[in-house]
Amino acid sequence: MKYSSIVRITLAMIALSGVVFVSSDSSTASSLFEQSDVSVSDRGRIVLERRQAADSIARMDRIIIENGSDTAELFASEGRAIEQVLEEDLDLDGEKELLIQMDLGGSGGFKEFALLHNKGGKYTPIWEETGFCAGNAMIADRDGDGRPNIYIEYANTEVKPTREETAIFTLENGEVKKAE
Amino acid sequence: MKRYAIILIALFCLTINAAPAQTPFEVNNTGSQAQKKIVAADEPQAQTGETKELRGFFKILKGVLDILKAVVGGIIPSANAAEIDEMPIGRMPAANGTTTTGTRLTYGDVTNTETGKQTAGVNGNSSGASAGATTPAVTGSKAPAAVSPDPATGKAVTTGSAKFKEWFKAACDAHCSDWEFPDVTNKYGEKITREDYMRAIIWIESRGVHMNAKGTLTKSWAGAQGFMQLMPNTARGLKVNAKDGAQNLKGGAKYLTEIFNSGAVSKKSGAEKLIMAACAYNLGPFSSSMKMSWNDFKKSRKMPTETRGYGLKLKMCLGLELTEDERKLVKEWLVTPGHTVDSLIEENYTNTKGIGR
Repeated sequence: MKYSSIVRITLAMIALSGVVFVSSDSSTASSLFEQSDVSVSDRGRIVLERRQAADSIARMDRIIIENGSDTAELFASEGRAIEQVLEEDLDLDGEKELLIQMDLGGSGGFKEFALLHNKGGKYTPIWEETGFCAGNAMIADRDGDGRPNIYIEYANTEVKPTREETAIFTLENGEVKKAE
Repeated sequence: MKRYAIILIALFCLTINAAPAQTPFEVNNTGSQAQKKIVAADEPQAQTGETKELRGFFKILKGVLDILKAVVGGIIPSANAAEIDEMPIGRMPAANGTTTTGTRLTYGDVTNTETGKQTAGVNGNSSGASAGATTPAVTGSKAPAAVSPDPATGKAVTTGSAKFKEWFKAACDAHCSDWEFPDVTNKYGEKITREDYMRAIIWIESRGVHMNAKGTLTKSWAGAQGFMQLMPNTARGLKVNAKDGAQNLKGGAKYLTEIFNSGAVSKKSGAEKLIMAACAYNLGPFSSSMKMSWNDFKKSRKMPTETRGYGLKLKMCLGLELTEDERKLVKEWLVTPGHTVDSLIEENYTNTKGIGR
């Protein structure tokens, strides 16, 4: 079997497993990156791209929106590793916001969260929160008031012994507030 | 025979000058807690004719010891922390293999009052840009001597393990020289080396324990592993196995290369860079908050207390002067019952200094 055939088969197998690797021209990034869909709507396809910088632990992850041949970048991780992207209409205006959870890689296991507010298809970063050891975000309406909230489950290392806690955030009037 | 004669002469010289040997420091027993107070006598305003004379004497003594050391060869250079403890004014091996003068401060009977001139600490009133500026070193040191780690027992892998020195050297040789490391002198007049910095991170992260006597890997709540508490994803990115002691140290040193040479921390300078690099090690080098100055960072309630405390620990480990507001934060966050701010400063400094000796 020829070498090129082996490469083709390998790439096909990877593509079939749900992860697509795409060539990149960037000289600062590794030549392969991973893509996964966040959502698909009539406005386009929101895609999370994960990429490791060349010769560095920095991540060059980003969220893009593709519509036909047009592509626009919504968010760049700037070294941080995007762990998950959640899409939900947090302010009940009919437009879905994007909540981004990033791993910072430090010894404390802290995370960074960012929220992109969606107004008429235009995404604006309105909130960034740092901390939350081993944090994991989810969006739900646990209190049953009809409005979804952001819940971050994390380990509170500032109390002894460390205990698991949940921080709750709500989006109101374009502002993210922490619930007491 | 000749060697022993020289040593005997040297010992005789030291014996007849035993009393002045303590005098670079004034001992004040009138403190409210009836503790001895060590006051640096090398501050310009504190110098008297007598102390100047004594400093001259010690310079001569230092010279004599240097000559003796050169002549005797393999005897004095092998002095370890235990031997240093016996020396009223000893010569303390520094991280870079050179030697610095120092004396041992012992817990309980001595309080380090930090009256030495601030040489590299971040001034509470200064701006972020100027906070890291390095000022000239204070001549003459009052640094406490290093505390050697306990030898590892059972399945333990610690800084007291036989192989540790070799691993530590290999990690530093491979990566430390790549760091864009600022030139900073601590409050004891010592230039902070890259090896000192590695020691400080090891001490803060794991207190020098990679694996306990039962063979259990040191692991944090978040999953960070080993000597330098590498997170699994970070270790993967660094291409090391965090569970292996030698690789853990190499990974930590390589990670510090990333921190010192790229991202927001790389743009900082002086002590500011050292402190914020430690915060980056704990929080993550690419956090947007790394653009902040240390002065803003330590006050920011939005930042994790653990990371702000990490910056303070780093200062203590490296012998950087704490400002008054930082001492308050240390007292609030880090001092445990039975300790004082000063005893904690000394514990961190002496244990850090002892790693890999």
